[in-house]
Amino acid sequence: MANKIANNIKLGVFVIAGLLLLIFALYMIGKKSNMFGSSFTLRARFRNVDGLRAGNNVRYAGIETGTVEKVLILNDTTIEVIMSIDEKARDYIRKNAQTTIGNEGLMGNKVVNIFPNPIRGELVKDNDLLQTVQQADIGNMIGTLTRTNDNAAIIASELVETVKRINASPVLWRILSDTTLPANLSATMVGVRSSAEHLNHSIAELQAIVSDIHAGKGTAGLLLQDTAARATASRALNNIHNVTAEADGLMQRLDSIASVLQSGVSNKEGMLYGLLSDTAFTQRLSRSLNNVENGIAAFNEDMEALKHNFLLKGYFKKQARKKSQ
Amino acid sequence: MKPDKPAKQLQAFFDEAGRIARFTGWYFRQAIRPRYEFKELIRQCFIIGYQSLGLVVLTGFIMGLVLTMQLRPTLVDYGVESQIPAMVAIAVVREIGPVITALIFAGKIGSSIGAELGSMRVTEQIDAMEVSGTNPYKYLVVTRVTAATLMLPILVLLSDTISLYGAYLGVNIKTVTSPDLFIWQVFDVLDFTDLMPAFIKTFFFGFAVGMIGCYKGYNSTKGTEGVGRSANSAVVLSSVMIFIIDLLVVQVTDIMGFN
Repeated sequence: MANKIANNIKLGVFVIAGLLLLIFALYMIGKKSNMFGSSFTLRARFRNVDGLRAGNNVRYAGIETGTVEKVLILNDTTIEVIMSIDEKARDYIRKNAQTTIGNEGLMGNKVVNIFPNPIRGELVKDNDLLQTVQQADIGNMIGTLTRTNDNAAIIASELVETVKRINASPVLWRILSDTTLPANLSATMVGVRSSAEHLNHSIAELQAIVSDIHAGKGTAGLLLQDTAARATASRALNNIHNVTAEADGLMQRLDSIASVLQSGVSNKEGMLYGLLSDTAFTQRLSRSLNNVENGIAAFNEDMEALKHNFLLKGYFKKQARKKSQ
Repeated sequence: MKPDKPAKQLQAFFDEAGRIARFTGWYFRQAIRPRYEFKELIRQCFIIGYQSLGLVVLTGFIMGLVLTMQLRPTLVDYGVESQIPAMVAIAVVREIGPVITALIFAGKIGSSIGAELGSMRVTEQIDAMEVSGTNPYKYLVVTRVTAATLMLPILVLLSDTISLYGAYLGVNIKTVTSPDLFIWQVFDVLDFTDLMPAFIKTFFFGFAVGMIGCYKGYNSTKGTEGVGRSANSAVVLSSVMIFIIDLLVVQVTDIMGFN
C-alpha cells in the first residue's frame, strides 16, 4: 500500500513537472508576444514592408518593446503596420519618433525599429501614426555593388592596357635593364643631397646676413638702420647732384666757347685761326718761345751765380736753414 | 500460386488495416462508457510515463549535447555561432524532441505492451477475464492506450527541457553563455506555432504507440513465438506510424500556415 502511494506521488510529481514546463514555455512565448501584459497600439505606414509579417518584433532604440499585430494593404502604395507596444514604453515613445523596417542580424527576421527623434516631441497616444523612414533594401545595395563592380572592371581593363603599353615600351625597358642606372641615380642623389646641404648652408648664411642687416650691423645695416648715416648719404647724394649740375653748366659754357672758336676758325678770323692756319706766325711764335726758354736758362745761371756771390751768400744760407727746420 | 501472392498480401494488408480501424473504434467506444478503470489507468501512467523517464532523459540530454556539438563547426564557418541556441531550440522543440522521444517510447512501451498482452493472450488470461465478467478490453487496452497518449507529451516536454540543458552545456564547452542569455535566445525564436503543433502531435504519437502495442499483443497467436512477434511488430509498426503521423502533421501545419 505504501509502495502504491509512493508511486502515485512520483507520478504526480512527474505530471506536474511536465505541466509546469508546458506552462513556463507558453508563458515565455506569450510574454514575448505581449500576451500577458497591458499594451497599446501604434501604427506606421510604409511604401514597402520588405517581408514584415505579424508576430515580428518591434524595437524602440534597440530594446524589444512589442510585436507586429497586423500588416494591412491600404492602397497600391501604402502598407499600414499595426504594432502592439508594451505599456511600459508609452512614457518614452514620442509622436515624432521615426520608424524603419530592418533585420534581426544579417539574415534574421524582419523587425520594426522605432528611433527616438533628437527633437523632443509630444508623447504618443493609443493608435497614433508614427513617422516612417524607408531604408535602403538589399536590392538597392546590390544595385550599388553592381555599379561599383562595373567601375572596378573598367579600371582593371585600363590597368591591363597601361601594363601592356609599359611592356611594349623599349625605352622604359632599356631604362629598367640599365645596370649602371642605379649607381648613377645613387651618385646623382648624393650630388643632389650635397647641393641641398650647400644650399641650406647658403640660405643659413643669407639669413644671418639679413638678420645682421636687420640688427643694423655692417655698412648695409648702418645705411638701413642708422638715420644719421642715411642723412649723410642723402646729403652726399645731393652734393653729387649739385656738382653734376655745375659740371653740366661748365660744359655748356665750354661748349659755347668751343662754338665761338669753331665759328672763328670757320670765318678765318681770330687768334685761334691764326695759330692754326698762319705758318709764319707759328714759326715766329716758336722762335719767341725758344728765346724765352734760352733767356730763362740764362737767368737761372745768373741767379745761381748770385747765390755764390759773397754779398748775397748769407741770405741764401739763412733761407736754406729755415726750409730745413 | 505465385501470381496470387501479391493479391493475397494486399488483401491481408487491407484486412489488417480494417482490424486496426475496428480495434481503434472499439477503444473510443469503450473509453467513453463507464465503468472507468482509474486505478489501472494511474498504475499504467506510472509504468508507461514515470518509468520511462530515465531513458527519455538520458537520450534527450545526449541528443541536445550532440546536436550542439555537431552544429557548431558549420555555424562557426558561417560566423553565426551565436545562433546555436536558437537553431537547437527550433530543431528540438519542433521535430527532434517529439520524434526521437516517441521512437524511444515506441521501443520501450510498444514492445512492453505487445509482449505483456501477447503473453496474456497466449496464456488465456484474457479469456479468463472475459469469463470472470471483467471487460479485458477496457481494463487492458483502454487504460494502456490512454496512459500512453497522456504520458508521451509530458515525456516529450521533459525530454525537450533536458535536451536544451544538454545544448546549454554543449554551448559552454567552447564558449561562455549565461543561462539567462541562453533561455532568452531559445524563447526569442520560439513561437506558439513552433510549440503547439509539436506538442499536439505527441498525443497522436502516444496514441499510435499504445494502440499498435495493444492491438499486436491483444491479437497475438501461435504461443510464445507469437508473443515475440507481437512485441517486434508493435515496435516496427509504431515507429513507422510515428513517421507517417509526423509527415501528416507537417502537411497540416503547413496548410494552416504555421511553418
